[in-house]
Amino acid sequence: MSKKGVFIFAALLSLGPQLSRAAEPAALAKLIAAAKAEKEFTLLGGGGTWGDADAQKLLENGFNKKYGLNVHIKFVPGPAMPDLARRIADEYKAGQKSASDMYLGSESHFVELTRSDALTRFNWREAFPNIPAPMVEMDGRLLREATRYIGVSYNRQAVQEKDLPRKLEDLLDPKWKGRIASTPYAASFDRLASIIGPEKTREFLKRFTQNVAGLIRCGEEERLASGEFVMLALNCGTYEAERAQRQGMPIGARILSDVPIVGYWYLSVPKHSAHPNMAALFAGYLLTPEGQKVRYDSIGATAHLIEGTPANKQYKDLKAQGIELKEFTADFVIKNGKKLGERRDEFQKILQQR
Amino acid sequence: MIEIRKLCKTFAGRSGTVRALSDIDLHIEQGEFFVLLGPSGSGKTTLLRSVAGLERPDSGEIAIGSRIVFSSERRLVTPAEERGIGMVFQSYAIWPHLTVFDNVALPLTQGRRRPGRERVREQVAEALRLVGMEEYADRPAPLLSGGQQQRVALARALAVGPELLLMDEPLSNLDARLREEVRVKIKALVRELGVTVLYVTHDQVEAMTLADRIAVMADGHILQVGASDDLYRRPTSPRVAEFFGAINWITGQALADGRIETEIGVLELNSHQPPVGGRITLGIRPEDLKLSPSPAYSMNEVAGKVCSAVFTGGELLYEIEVNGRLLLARTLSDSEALRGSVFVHFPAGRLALFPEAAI
Amino acid sequence: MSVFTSQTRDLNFEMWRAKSYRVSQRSILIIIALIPAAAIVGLLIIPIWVSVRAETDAGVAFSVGAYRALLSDPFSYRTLFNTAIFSAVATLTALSFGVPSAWIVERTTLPRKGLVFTLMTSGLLIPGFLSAMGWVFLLHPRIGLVNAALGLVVAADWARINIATPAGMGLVQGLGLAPLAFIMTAATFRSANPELEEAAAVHGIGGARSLFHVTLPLALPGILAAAIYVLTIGLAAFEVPAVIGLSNRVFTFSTYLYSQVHPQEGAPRYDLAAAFGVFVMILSAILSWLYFRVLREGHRFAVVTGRSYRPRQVELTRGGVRMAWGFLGFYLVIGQLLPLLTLVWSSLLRYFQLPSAAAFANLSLVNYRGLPWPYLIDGLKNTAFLMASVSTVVLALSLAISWIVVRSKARGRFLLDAIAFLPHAVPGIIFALSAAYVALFILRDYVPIYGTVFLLLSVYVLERTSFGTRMLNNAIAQIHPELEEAGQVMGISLFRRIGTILAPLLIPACINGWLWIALLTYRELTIASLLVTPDNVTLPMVIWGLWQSGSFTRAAAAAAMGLAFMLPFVFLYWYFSRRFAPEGLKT
Repeated sequence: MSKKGVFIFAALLSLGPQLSRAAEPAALAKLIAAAKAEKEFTLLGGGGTWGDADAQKLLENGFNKKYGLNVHIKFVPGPAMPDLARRIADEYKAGQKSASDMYLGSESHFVELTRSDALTRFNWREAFPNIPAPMVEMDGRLLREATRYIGVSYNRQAVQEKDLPRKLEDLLDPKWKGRIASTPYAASFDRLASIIGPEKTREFLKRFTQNVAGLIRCGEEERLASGEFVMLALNCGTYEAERAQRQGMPIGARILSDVPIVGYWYLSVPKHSAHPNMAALFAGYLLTPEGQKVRYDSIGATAHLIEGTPANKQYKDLKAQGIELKEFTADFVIKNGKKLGERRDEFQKILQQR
Repeated sequence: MIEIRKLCKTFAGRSGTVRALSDIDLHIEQGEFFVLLGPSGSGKTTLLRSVAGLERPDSGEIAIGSRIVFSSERRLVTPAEERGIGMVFQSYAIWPHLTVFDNVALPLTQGRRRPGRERVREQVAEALRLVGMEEYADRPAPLLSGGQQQRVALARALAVGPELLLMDEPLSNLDARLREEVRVKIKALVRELGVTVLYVTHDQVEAMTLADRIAVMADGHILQVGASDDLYRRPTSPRVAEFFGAINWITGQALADGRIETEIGVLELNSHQPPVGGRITLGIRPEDLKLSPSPAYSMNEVAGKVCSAVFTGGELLYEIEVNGRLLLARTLSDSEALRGSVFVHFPAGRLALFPEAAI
Repeated sequence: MSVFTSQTRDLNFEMWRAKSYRVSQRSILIIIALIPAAAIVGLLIIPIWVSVRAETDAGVAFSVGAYRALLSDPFSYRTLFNTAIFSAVATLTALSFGVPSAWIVERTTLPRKGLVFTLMTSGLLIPGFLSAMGWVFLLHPRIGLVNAALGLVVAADWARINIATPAGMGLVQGLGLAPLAFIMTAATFRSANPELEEAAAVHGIGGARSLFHVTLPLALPGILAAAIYVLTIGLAAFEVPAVIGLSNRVFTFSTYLYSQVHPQEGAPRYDLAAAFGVFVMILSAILSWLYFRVLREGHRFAVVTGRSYRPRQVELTRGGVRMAWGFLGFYLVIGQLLPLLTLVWSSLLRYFQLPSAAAFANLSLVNYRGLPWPYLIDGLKNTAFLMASVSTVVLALSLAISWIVVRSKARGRFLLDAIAFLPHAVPGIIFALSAAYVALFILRDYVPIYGTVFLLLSVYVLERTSFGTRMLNNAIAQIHPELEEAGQVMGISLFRRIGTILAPLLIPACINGWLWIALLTYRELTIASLLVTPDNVTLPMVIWGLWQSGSFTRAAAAAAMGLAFMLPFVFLYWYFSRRFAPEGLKT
């Protein structure tokens, strides 16, 4: 992000509170009141979802400050996103309270949750008018929280700038053999299939898996930094590597110009959430300029549809380079759920066997 | 005091089942000192443990006092802890984590009837006094000698004030000298208290010293019940006879005149006559044989030869050859040992008669 | 005359009293013992049931589909193959360190050997996944310290030890299991009859010849039994394959099970997991059978029994002492200390770096500060609760079971004993799988135990009951039965007898057992991996969660905290185990 960008972002933030406070809609006031009655809430997620203890402190403080609350947010290191989605769906079917009061997942993770109708429908734009309409999906069940530009993350000490893969093809170069990692959930490869076709993806993966040394999850930049693996392809969003870089790790990331996949993080409130109002208020908070700032500082992910955010800036940059981004929404995945799920299963299997 | 009817018990072992008790019938009087005597594996301990309630018989009935404590017919078992008896174990079973006082007190404080603290103190003190252990009340159990443990075990068994006292080889772990001493004390103590005692031992001297009556057991059967001299003098089977010490066996055949033709000559009996022509066995204890250097020309006298004479302190042990048979004889050692040819007299009253098949 | 003929009302009253008394105490004890036994059997039947159960749209059907799917998937065979290599290497490694150490400690005149005994025993208590984490930093082909050192000598790739292979993981697991092999074979060497060796010596067979022709063949059944036992454990070991194998695409039985229950996406395949579980149960049954056979064979060699003698000890020269300590030290340093030191080192770094000036400059406590403390403390609380409650409940239940097995003449007591042994033979992860299934799908409407610490408590208790009963069977058998009978005859009821006579006499054994179970509970990860939710998280699961989410260095920091928490208990255990150490091994 350029200095100018940071400045605009900061200026916007300083304006934020006055703007929102002045025009606080009745629906928001009601939500705040209901949330206050709930006192606390619990968020589950891997380290990549809610960040470390410092990040969590930032989130809690920002949230409390914004709405004049005194909430303790119980952040619990949880399982991977799909694991958690399934657990929440299971708990809904079992008639138990949801382990996590809110669920954050990618566009791929809502098939089961929407099929079992476990998510609350919420009128987001009534309480949070600043949220752009396209960010609300599935009748208010899902709220887009951040934009993910998907590509590769790499160790900057181990990989020279000139050696970096620019296109998908470059990942098959034998020089990567035994050095790079992929994800056990075959992140984004089903999206790839929607771009270049399942046949070609399958072909690609069968060759690609020869190069793969191991499977790590997104958010494990430490393992790139230590040199255990020199590159992760595909990643879950370039923002993770950029955040790691800011924290002093020798990490970088880039998108592949021929397959510029864009995905999202989504927020949702399970129907069996123990503290649904608190969760909804928190979700809305994350999309306020202050919330986005905190998310940037902690996780690094922001939403490109909200003006002034780093993701917004990146979006404009990529557009300017003439790159045609391939966007995938939860709506799309849910509608094609079965087909994509089968592909993902197949691709995971290919990746899991060398 | 104890009445036992048709008591049976089998154990399933590795090599088939073992009949530990077969059809035992027994009656023990109030205040009696009753000893079960037998070699190991004879069933005596099983019988004692059945009375205690530690072993459950397969069938039969046991009554203690006026209470039936076991009856297979009535499907009734009174657990051991409800039978209200005292018992001294072979190992003494002194609880090693407690002091002498606590060992004696535990059955009173944790048992069926729990008298008050003062009463317990009195009862324990009294029991310890009876066995002469009152000075050791505070001593931890592991610091006791074998004899002291034995006395504590007795005190503990008496402290509950039982009408029936069971003792399972209580002296077998003591050395010989101490054993004799304790035997006398037990006998006196039990008589003083008037308790009924059922006592198990494999030592016939111990049994004879202590018992009012003895039941000799073998292979799960009671062979004979009676007072010591009864069993010694009038055994009803060669096994009982052998159990009470060495005995000479002579086989023979009854003649028409009532005398017995034996391998060492014709002998005459006092007792009732066996059927004529039947094969019989005569038994006579070594000390009952009368030896003399010259013939007395009396009945039942045969000539023999001294093969060996061994001096064992108070007695002389002889091996005497009579008509090619070796007989054992025992005399007091108040005279010179006999040598050469001797005359052996078989007192008619001392000859025990059994059908030959009995051996 | 006879009392048998007089039918009085008093008598009937006696009869009634006698009967009701029986119901109230012995039966209660039997019921207490039957509860865990029934649960164990139930949890072993569940996988069989789940593996043939298929939920279709039409309802529930029974099919062998899961088995067909398992058998037709080459991945299953690959997993099986990996498991075979893994457990074989683990067993070999464990034996090659454990058996010589046992021989040195039991059969030589090595000074201060009690220390070795203590260190070896506590080696068992170090959580395997912590060592595994350390080993990743030590032996990883690219970042491992050892490999980096090797790289200085030989540049070629073949000169790197790759830990991320079935054999590599087996090596690490084997180092962790060596103390077990040590303890088991030490008993064998200790009970060896010296006369047999003396006979060899008299006939001119001495030294190494005696060792290889007499001592080792005699100890062979014991060693073989230990091997089978270690193999059974290795077969289902979870921690090392999970820490090292999962991210390197090397699956063994237990991680396969784990990945079926916690798939990356889609619904968990309990049926596949259960089918594989059934297969491994059969395998464990065969191994257990072998184990007991070998043990029985071993008794054939026991020429003299019940006699206590001091085994012949080999006089060590100065050089011998040095060699022995060299060997033991090598194992203790390499196998136990080094991985933990590496772990502590990495906990001080933002991301793992080999020791260098730059790395030293970067050392900080940032990982400790950034730990999810509230969550960690939750885990610590739950773990502490489990340590206390599991040990206590296990001892209570085991006391009931062992009393029935050793003391009562109840019919079926040997079956009860065999059932109590089962958790030893059957991998814990299978119990966890069943328990998760039962709690989630069967019990949820009646007893909402899923996600509570009580679910962990129950499964941990069942798992450890096998140890508790083995220990108490031995301890009770050593207490003369007449001590209890004396109390019984003199009117003390069963519960009071247990309370005032048996329990006080068992205290030394119980303190040791209690601490041992507590420490095993502390390190337990396998069962927890399938049963923990955020509400019943344990300390190992917090560490494991951090590790799994890629925060290696933070996981290392949490692990270091965990070790610090554990140390006082290890010292307590040392203290008590030395007090009650086998004769001749006290220091």
